[in-house]
Amino acid sequence: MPVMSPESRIKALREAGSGTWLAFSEDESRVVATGATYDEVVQAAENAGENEPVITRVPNDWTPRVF
Amino acid sequence: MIRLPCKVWPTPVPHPAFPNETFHWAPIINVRLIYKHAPPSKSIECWVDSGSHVCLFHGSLCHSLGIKRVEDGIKEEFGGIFGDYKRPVYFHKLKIIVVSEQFETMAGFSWDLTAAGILGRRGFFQNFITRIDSSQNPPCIELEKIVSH
Repeated sequence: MPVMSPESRIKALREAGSGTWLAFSEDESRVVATGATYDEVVQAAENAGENEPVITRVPNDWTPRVF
Repeated sequence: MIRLPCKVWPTPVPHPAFPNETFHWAPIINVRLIYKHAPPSKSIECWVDSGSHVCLFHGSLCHSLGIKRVEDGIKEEFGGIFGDYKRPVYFHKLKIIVVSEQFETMAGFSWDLTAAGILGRRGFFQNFITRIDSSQNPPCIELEKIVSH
């Protein structure tokens, strides 16, 4: 089960800058860092004490997408 | 059998067709990538997508994986289903770790990908019988490893 509520995760994703990378804690209960690139967000997460973050990429907008 | 919950993903607000919804449940799972003998990447959220014939990842992942230049891979042009213009994708061989299972595949990297990664038929679906159960709350993804004889 996700440990971050759907509302909290949605809020975190919406508040992250467009086109940025977002790091959640290993248990996905909180946001630990953001960055402009994958390398940057990993470094920021490690600086925040999270060595096993879960990384996602925030799209430029929330337009529904078909991959 | 590996059973993983789907994750929520924002929709436009307000969604024109579904005005009471602010998010949807998406088949997003965490994977790690390994290139050659480098250490695995961090966990990366990827979309399970049976519509994609290959696995695709954002070019930003390459540097820390040990791929010096995205563009050194084998190039292919990719288009979307709406007929928009084509984007270059560069293929590199790598291993993908899903929970405790791993497989090797040629995966494409693109700077234009809007997601961190997409798990497609070549590689991912070749290795897992995949089922999305939307009757559950939250919906879940069930993965059954295909055992080759």
